[in-house]
This record gives sequence, structure tokens and C-alpha cells, in this order.
Amino acid sequence: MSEDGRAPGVQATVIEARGFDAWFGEFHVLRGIRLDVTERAVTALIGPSGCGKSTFLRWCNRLNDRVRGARATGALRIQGIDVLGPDVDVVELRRKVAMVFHRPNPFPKSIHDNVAFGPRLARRLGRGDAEEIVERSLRLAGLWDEVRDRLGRSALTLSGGQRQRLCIARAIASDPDVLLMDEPCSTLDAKSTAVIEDLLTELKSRFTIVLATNNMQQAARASEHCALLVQGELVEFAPTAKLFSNPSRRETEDFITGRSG
Amino acid sequence: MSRAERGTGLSAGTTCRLPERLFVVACRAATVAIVAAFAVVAGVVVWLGASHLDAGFLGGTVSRHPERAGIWPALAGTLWTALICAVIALPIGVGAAVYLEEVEPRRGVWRRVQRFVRANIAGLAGVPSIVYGILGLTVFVRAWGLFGDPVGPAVRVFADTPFELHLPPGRGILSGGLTLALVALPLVIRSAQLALRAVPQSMRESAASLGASPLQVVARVTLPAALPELLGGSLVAVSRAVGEAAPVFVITGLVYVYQAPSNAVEPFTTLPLQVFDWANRSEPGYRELAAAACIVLLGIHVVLDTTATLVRRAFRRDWR
Repeated sequence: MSEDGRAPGVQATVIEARGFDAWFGEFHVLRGIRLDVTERAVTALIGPSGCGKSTFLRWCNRLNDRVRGARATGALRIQGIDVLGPDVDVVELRRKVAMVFHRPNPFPKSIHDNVAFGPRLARRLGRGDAEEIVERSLRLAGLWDEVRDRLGRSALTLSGGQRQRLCIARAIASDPDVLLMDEPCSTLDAKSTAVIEDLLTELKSRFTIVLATNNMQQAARASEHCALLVQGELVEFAPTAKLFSNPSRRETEDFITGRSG
Repeated sequence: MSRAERGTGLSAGTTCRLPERLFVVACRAATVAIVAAFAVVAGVVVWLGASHLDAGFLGGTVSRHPERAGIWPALAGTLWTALICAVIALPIGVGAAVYLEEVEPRRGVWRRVQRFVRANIAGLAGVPSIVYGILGLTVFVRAWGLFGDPVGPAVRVFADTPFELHLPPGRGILSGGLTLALVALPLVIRSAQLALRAVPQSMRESAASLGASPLQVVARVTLPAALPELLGGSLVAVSRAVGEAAPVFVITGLVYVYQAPSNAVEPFTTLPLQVFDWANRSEPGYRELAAAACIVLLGIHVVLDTTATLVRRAFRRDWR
């Protein structure tokens, strides 16, 4: 038995979507999505641009609240919380469900203040507490050794790959349960991408990760489960190895072999 | 974006075709004309006024003898009204800009108000400043005549102290500063709006995604990120307002002030008004005085504009 009382190997469902539909104005972005995201694993969302990957992620932490004309129906539960419910505390939800964006977007503040941003929103941090959180988060994001001597420098002095790892450190500093990653490597070069993919295997031992990606090799390498979305519909959702080696739908095969999408 | 990145290759050199070269030459002529016009004005002003510029001129007061006249009362009046203008216009202007750019009203009424103000704020910046002068005269000097129209003030508080205030407020630096704040406000709001708009949406989104409440997004990310541009633009707005003669003239009329204002209600004058007065006199010596006062006024502008540029540069953000 593991510490949380479940038998090892039996993983709980963290995000559960049932009959989930989303719109931007009149545009029906997602239709009848049924998806289970497993705890402490990487679930990849793949599909052509505009298929609704980002929209799904942005509903998981209700970031679409900020977009005029965006609405969603159906069931979306994260750890039993009804995400779309009228009573959900959006601020609290976002502390549990963190997000990394496709473009590294550190704040124009110091490296230290970027990482401490999230925890400081909730409470005043003593200097010692802040330092501890910053070091732990930067270590988890694999950035500590590169920046330990210049935590006070502006985050904008970092390279693109370092910035994205800083954004990961910033996202995990509040100790979230879920990490949503929206094409985190799409603006990075191959080397930085490899660093972040390696990081994913470390991070999934602590966090439940949903990875939207345009890069099928990345999905194949880094994820345990994989969902293919095409034009807002879930075409296939299966263990990654099976989806890539033995897809059960014709459309999946066309997509992964490059004949469509 | 650096200059090189948006270079077009357009030049007057022989690598370009004739129409392109003519176009470049015409644009260059326009630039040279502006610089030349300004150089002529500045040159004449300096040539006329430079000999007057000394400590006696800066520290002296008005006099019947031009060679003994000074600008201290006008300089002090300008600095005081600038301070009042800045203290009033900056918080109100920034607050209004935050409401216009960062707030999404739920109720239809406020949405319409927001849309109306957004659409008209630029026009407000173009309203002739004398209109604000008349407004200031009605609202600040006379307080709509609510307290009657007596010879003296109807109400005095803190009498005979530097904090003396009257109702109606009368023709002092308080009314002057408030009126100049009216002149500066549309400009402050406009520049603050642009500064807020220049903050990438992704900053707000990532702050929100980290669990920042809407207020925290504005207070901890958007405003700090916009601050350099915002301060720079506001300084330019204040600098523009304190250079105005017309609204102050409506407030004070042409008065002879022998000392720097010692409270907020006694008569005052400002540099542009002093220039206006001196430039209008036919006796010999006053033209030079007016020119010397112009140099001081230009000096204030250069200081404020340079400060604005330095503030922007010191905190320049690279968003990429």
C-alpha cells in the first residue's frame, strides 16, 4: 500500500471530463469530450492546430473566464471539484491547477521574485520561507545550478529554454496538484526541448501533467496516455504505446502517419 | 524592436532609384525644417535673454526697472501649480486609465459609460486649454457662486497659516493647480492607457493562472510593468500643462505679484503669464526680460522631459 492508501499501480483519476462542450461565441470548439486524466502521469493531447487542445487546458483552470464569449457545458471535475460550477473558487482552483504557456512569459522581475510570485499571493512569506520555496522549485525545474548565483537578476536575462524552466518553477512553487502545459516547447530549440522533456519524467512523479503538443514524437516519448483531438472531437484516447503502434481508428492512423492534420 | 530590424533600405544613396531618392530628400528636408525653425526660435531667445540670466534674475521680483526685475514669484508660482497639478492629476488619471483598460464592468450602464469615455478621451485631450480655464474659474475660483459672490471669501479656515483655505477657493495656486490638473488629466489618462495596453496579455494571464485575484493581477503585475511608460508619459503631460498661459490667465488675471505665494489662496502668477506680460510692453528692456523668462521655462521643460526619458530608459522592459 502506498502512503495515500491505494494499492500501488492503481492510479486515481484526477481530471474527469464527461460530455464536455466549449464555445467561443458561435464557434463550437469542443464537442462531447470524454477524458480521464490519471494521477502522476503525463497525458498528452495531440491534434492539428485549432483542434481545441488549448481550449481544454484553459477550461481546466478557468482561464477562459477572462475571454469574452467563451462558455462551456457538461461535466469537468478535477479531484471531485465541479470546475464549471458557479460556487467554485477560481483563485483557489488555479492554485491547485497550474499552467505553463506555449511562450515563456516570465514577469519583468527578478528570478527570485518570479518563483515566489504564486506563494506570495496567498500569504506573506518570511525571507527564509521564500528562499526555501524558490530553491526547491528551481531544483525541481532543473534550473537551480544555472541561476543559484544570480537569483536577484532580472528573469529577462535568461535564455528562452531557461525562461521556460523558470516558468515551470514558478508554476510549481505553489505546490499544485495538476500541471497544464500548453505546447511548452513550441518556441524552443531542440536542445532546450530535450531538457524540458527530461524534466517531464521527473515532474510526473509529483504532479499530474496534461501536455498539449503539436509534436507527435514528443507525445510518444513523454506521455503515458494520449488523446487525439480533431476539429473539437476526441478521436481516440488510449495508452500512448497503443495509440502510436496499434491505433484502433483509421483517423488516428492517418494523423500519426502524417496523412492528415 | 531595434532600428536595424525595421530598416527598409530606403536611402538617398545611389543604390536606390530616383523616385525613392526624391522621397527621402523631401522627408529629410521636412526634418531639417523643423530643427531649423526650433533652432532659430531658441537662438533668438537665448541671444536676447541670456545676458539677463543670473541669480538676481532668478531670485528677484518684479520691478519698474527692467534691469532689476526678476522672476522668483512667477517661478515659485509655476513650481507650486506644477506640484498641485501632478499630485491631483497622476492618481486620478492612472485610476481612470486602470478602469478604462483593466476593469470589465458587469452592469450594462457602466459598460456604456466605459465605452463612451474610451471613445471620447482622446478628443478631450484636444479641447482648447482656455475652455478648462473657464471651467476652473467657475468651479474652483467661484465654486459656482454657491457661497454668494462677496468681495472676500465667505469661509476661511486655518487663517494666517500657510495652510489657509477659503470657500470659494478664490484665485490662488490651489485653483490654478487644480485647473492645470484638468488640462493635464486627459493627457495623463491617454498615456497611462497606452502604457497599460503595452503590457502583453500573457502577463495578465500567467498571473491569473498562478492564482492572482483580479486586483492582484493589476497591483502586482500590470501596473508595475506599465510604470516606467506611465510615469514618463505623465511627466510629459504635467510639463505640457504648466506651460499653458491661457487657463492661468483666466484664473488670476494679470496681477503684479511681489513675492512667492506663501499659501494656497493668495494671488499668484506663473512663468508663461510673466512672459506674456513682459512681451506685451513697449518700453525698452522688457523684450529681453521676456526672452530670459522663456529660457527658464524651456529649462523646466527640458528637465521634465529628460527625467521622463530617463525614467523610461532606466526601467525599459524587454518583453520578448
